[in-house]
Amino acid sequence: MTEGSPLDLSRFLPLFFEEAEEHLEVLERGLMAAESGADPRPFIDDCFRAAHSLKGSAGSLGLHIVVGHTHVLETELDAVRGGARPLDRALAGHLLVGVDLLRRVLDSLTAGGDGQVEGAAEWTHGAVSGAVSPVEARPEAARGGLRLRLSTHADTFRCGLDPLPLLRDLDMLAGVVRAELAAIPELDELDPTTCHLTWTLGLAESPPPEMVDELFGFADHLFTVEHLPDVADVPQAVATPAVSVAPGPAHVAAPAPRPERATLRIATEKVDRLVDLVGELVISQAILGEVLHELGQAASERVQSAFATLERNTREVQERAMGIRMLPVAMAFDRLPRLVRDLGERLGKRMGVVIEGEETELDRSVLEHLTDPLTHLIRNCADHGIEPAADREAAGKPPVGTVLVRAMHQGSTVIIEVSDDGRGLDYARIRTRAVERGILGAEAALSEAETIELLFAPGFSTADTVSDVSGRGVGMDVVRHSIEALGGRVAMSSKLGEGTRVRMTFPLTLAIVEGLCVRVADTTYVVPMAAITSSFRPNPRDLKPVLGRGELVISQGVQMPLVRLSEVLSGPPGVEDPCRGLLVVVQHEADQAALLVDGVIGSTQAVIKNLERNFQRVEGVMGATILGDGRVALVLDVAGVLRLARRRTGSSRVRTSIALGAASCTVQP
Amino acid sequence: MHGPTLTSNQPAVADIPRQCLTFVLAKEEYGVDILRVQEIKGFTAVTPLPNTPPHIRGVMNLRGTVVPVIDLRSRFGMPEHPYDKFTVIIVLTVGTRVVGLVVDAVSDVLEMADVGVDATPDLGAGVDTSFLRGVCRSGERLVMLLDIDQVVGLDTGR
Repeated sequence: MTEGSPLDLSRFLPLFFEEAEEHLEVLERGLMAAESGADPRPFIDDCFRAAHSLKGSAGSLGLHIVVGHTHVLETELDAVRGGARPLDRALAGHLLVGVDLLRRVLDSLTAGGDGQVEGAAEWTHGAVSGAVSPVEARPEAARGGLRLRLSTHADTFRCGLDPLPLLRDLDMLAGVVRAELAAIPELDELDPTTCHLTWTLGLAESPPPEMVDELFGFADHLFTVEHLPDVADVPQAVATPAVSVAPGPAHVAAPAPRPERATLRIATEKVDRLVDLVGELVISQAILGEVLHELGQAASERVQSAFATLERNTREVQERAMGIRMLPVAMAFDRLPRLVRDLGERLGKRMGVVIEGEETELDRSVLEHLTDPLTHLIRNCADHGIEPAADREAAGKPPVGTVLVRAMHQGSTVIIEVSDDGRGLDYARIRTRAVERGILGAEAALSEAETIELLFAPGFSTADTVSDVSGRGVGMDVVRHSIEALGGRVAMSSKLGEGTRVRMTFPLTLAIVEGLCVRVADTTYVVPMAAITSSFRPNPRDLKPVLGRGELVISQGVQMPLVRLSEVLSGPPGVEDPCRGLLVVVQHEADQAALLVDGVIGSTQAVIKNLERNFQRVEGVMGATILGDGRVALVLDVAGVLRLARRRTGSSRVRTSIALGAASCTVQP
Repeated sequence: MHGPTLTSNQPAVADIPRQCLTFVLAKEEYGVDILRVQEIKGFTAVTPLPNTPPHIRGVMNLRGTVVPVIDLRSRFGMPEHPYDKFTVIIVLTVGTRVVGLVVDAVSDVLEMADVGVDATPDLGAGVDTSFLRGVCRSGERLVMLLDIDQVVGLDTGR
C-alpha cells in the first residue's frame, strides 16, 4: 500500500524530459531566428506556448527549479507578445542564454542531479529585474527583503507530500531558511508521521511577486504562509540554529554527456494503425488455421509446426502491440489526493486518500476518459459517504475519513475501485426517495441489489440539498454510461455504517476479445467468452413461462431468465423451441441469463472494430468484427443485451425483480 | 475546365460542386458531389444492427472497415423496391465518417458548368426539403442535388 505521493510522479519524468527537449527546440528555433534578424513574429507565439507548457508540466511534477526558470522566459516572451518589448537581437541573445542554462538544468535533473547549475539562479534574477545583460548582474541586496513563515500542516506526510523540493527552490532565491524546532516534541512522544516543522525564510531580495505566487501556488497544500514584517538586517550569513539548504557544489560545470533516451514519443495514430494491422494479422492467421484444420492429415507435419510457431509469434506480437497502448493508471490517479483535499476543505470534512495499484496498466483510450467518472465517484464519497468528524467519532470510527482508490488486474480485466469508510447506503432512504420521485411504486419490495440499481436511474439523487459538489442528479447514470461506453462495467456495494464501494471493471484491451461465435437464423454473433458460464440444450421440464410474459429456465438448480436473442436484437427469427436450440448462459455482475441461439459455430479471437467510428453506439453491441469469410459479425455486450431483455419482459421493477430474483444476488462482490 | 456559369436567372446556391454523380431513386434523379464519393459497389450482404431505424440496413465490411449502410429509398419514405442487379452502394465520406448509400442505380456524371442550378423550390409545409441543396436543370432532366451531410448526419450521431 502506497499513499499517493509526489514520488510516484517520478515515472513521468522521462516523458517530461522528452517533452521539455521539444519545447526547448521550439524556443531555440524562434530565438535564433530573431537573433539573426529575421522577423520573429511568427515564432513568438510558439515560443511563448513552449515556455508556458514547459512551466506547466514542470509545476505539476514539482520541479520548482524549472518552473522558476521558465517563468522568467515566459514573462519576457509575454511582454514581447503583448508588444511591450521588441524582441531585438540583445534580448533574443539573452533569452538564448537562458534556454541554454535551462537545458543544463534539465540535463542535471535527467542525470539524477538536483538541477543546480552555475549561473542559472543569477540569470533568473537578472532577467526579471529587467537587465538586458543580466549574466553580470549580481543579486546585490536591494529592493527590501521579504520574510515569510512557512508552517507545514501536521498531516503533510500523511497526505504523501514532501516539502523538501520547495525549500530547495526557495534556496534558489538566495535566501536564508531557518527551521523552528521548538514545536518538535520529545523523541518518545514523536509521531514520525506528523510534520511539526516550521521555517522562517528571509530573502535578501524581494523576488517579483508573481514568482512568489508561482512557487507558493504549488505549495499551498503544504504550508500555511505568513508574511512577517520586514527586518532591515536580513542576515546574509547563516546563524545557528538555522538550517541552511545550501546549493550543492557547482558540479555541472561542463555539459554532462547527454543521457540516452529511454522513451520514444510516437504519434498515437501510428500506434493505432499498428494495432489495427496486428488485428488484421490475427484474422489472417485465424483463416490460415481454419484452412489447415480442414486439410487435416493432408497438411504435412512441417506445415503444422510452422503454423504453430506463427501462432505463437502472432500472439506475442499482439500482446506487445497492445502493450504500447497501455499506460499506468497513475496517469488518472495522480490528481486525486489534491481533489480529496479540496473537497474536504470545501465540505468541512476531514478525509484522506489512499491509492493502491497505480502501476496497473490500462488501455490509453480508457484511461483518457477515466478522469470524469473518477472525479464524480470521489465527489460522491466526499459528499454522501464520509461523515463529519464528530459523527465519525460518535460512531467509533477514526475522525479522518478515508477514500480508497485502487486498481488491480483480475484475469483478463482491470478493476478500479473507489470506496470510502463513510456512512454507507441507507437503503430505506433510497427507497423513500425513489417512491417520492415516482420511480418506484410504494408497495414494491426490493432487494439491496435492486435498490442500488435505483441509484443508476437518470436524475436520481438522495442528497437533501444541492451542493456544488454533488446532488444535482447528474449522477451514477452518467458514470455508468461513460464507463460502459469504454467497454467497462460498474457495480456498487455498500454496508450501512461501514462504507460504500464502487467497482469498475474494464477489459484489459479493447481491441481483441476472446469470443464464442453463435448462430441465430443466418446471422452470426460473437459472445465474449468472459461472460459465458456454460451452455446446454434444455429439457422441456426445465422451462417455465412466467405470468404469460418472459420465460425462466433452470440450469443446475438455478433459475434464470431465458432471452431469445433474435427478439432482443430484432434480427431474423431463429429456432422457436428452446429444446431444439442451444442456451448459452451468460453472467454480468449478479445477473444471469440464458441466451437462446440456434447453434454454436466455435470460438474466435474477435478483433473489435467500433461502430462509433462510422456510425454510432448501438445498445447491446460492443462492436463489430470481421469473420474469416469477410462478413461482419456483431460482438455482443452482455450487460446491454440483458438490459434490452429486461426492458422487453416488462417495464415494471417488480416484474424485473421476479425475473431476476432467482439469480443469486451477492451484494458484496 | 471552366467553373460553373452563374447566369442572371441563377439564384445564389452556395458551394455548387464542379461535378456530380447522379443516381436514380424511384425514377427520380439525384446528385451528390463527386468529390465525396469514395467508390461504388455492387450490393453486398450487410449485417443488420439491432434496434435501429429501418433505413439503417446494417453494416458492411469495406476492406477491413465497418461501414454503415443506409437505404436511401427508406430514408426518404419511398416505397420499398427489391434489390436487383442494378442496385448499388455508393460509398461516401461524411466528415470523418464513411457511409454507404443504397440506391436503385447510378446513372451519370454531371458537369455542373453545363447546367443551371436553382434554389430548392418551396414545396409546401408537408415536404421536407432540408436535405436538398438545389435543383439542376439539364435539358429535360431535373436532378435534385443532395446535401449529403443533412441526409446522413442525423443518422450517424453527428
